[in-house]
Amino acid sequence: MSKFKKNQTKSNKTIAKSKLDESFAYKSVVLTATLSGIFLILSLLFNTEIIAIFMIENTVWFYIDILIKVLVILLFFVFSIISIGNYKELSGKPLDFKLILLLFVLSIIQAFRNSWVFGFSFLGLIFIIAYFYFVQE
Amino acid sequence: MVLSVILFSFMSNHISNSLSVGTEITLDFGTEPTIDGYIDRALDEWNDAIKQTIFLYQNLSDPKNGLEIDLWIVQHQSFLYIAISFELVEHQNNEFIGILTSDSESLDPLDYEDAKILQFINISAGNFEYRDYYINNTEFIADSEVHGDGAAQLDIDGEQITYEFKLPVESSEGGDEDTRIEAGIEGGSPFMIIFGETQNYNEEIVLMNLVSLFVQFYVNIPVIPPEEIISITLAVLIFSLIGVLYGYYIFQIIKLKDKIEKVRT
Repeated sequence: MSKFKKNQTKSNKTIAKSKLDESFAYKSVVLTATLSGIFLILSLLFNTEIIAIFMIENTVWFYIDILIKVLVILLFFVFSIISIGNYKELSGKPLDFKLILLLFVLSIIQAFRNSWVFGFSFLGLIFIIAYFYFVQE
Repeated sequence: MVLSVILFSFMSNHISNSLSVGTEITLDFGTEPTIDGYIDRALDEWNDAIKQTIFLYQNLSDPKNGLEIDLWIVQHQSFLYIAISFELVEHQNNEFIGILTSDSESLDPLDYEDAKILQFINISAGNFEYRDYYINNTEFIADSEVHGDGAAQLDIDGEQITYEFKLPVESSEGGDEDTRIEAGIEGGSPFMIIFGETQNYNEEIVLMNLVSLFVQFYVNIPVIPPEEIISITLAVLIFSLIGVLYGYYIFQIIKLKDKIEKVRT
């Protein structure tokens, strides 16, 4: 009788821990999805040039402008991949390369108006994917 | 003395007893002529301009024995293009043509406020200067910044001369040193064309006449190049696609929450 009771307590603890993990993972999915949404809006504003970040024709500001645009795209990608990764984990499916490739394409095409932003974003995305790959390994 | 030289040097057919002072011209838009002191008829240059023959007089209160000049005026975008051409048997080394502007009309050139002058330094060598002055108490004072452009050229036979001016319209760049040539002024903006043979403008303006120009408003409609239209369309498509996918993902997250809650219960 006592043995049975002991196992039930253990099981309850496991369920409670699992619920806590699920809740944490779900909150992470929502938070990172929100952040990726914010960076998507910023990318829409800056990379489509609805808003010009700097009006001054100066070399320093030119590079800062590129840096901001590239960072916005890379952060969109990072938060999206974390969010989708956690989502997949919650739904019990693996994050496959097709989805990573789709995210990569959706991120890089945001920079289609500026070849500098495109080039640096491409390199940045490759670096992030490589980093995630090796960390996973 | 100078006047007598000029008057006697005119061919008799260039001197008229016409007594008309002041000409009113309503401008029209046309192609931009090249400001080089040469009217290129082969290229139909100045063909869009309004052409008038007017006379410059020594005294506008008593207009007689005027110098006949051909005047071309055309407006292109926010600029006024003026060409003045005439013939003299003998041109003086320091000959000039000036265009005076002011807010109000006057028969006295020294009452005007702004002067754009094409001044020959050495007419036989073809050396000239485009000068921008403001007139303060009958004194011609050089502007700190020159606005507009001009060129002059003496024909190969040494008789026919052409002066070409390019003046900004509705521009306040010159500040207090320039008269703003206003568009759409009823009765036209007052201009005075002056002619002389020395660089002493406040004392040696030999001939003059008035011209009232009705300057047209220039409406600048920006033309969007096709590549820009393609780029904007692509931006709309790309971000709409990402937006739709993002919306779908958010929907999936909401559905996932329901699933988790169902599994828990």
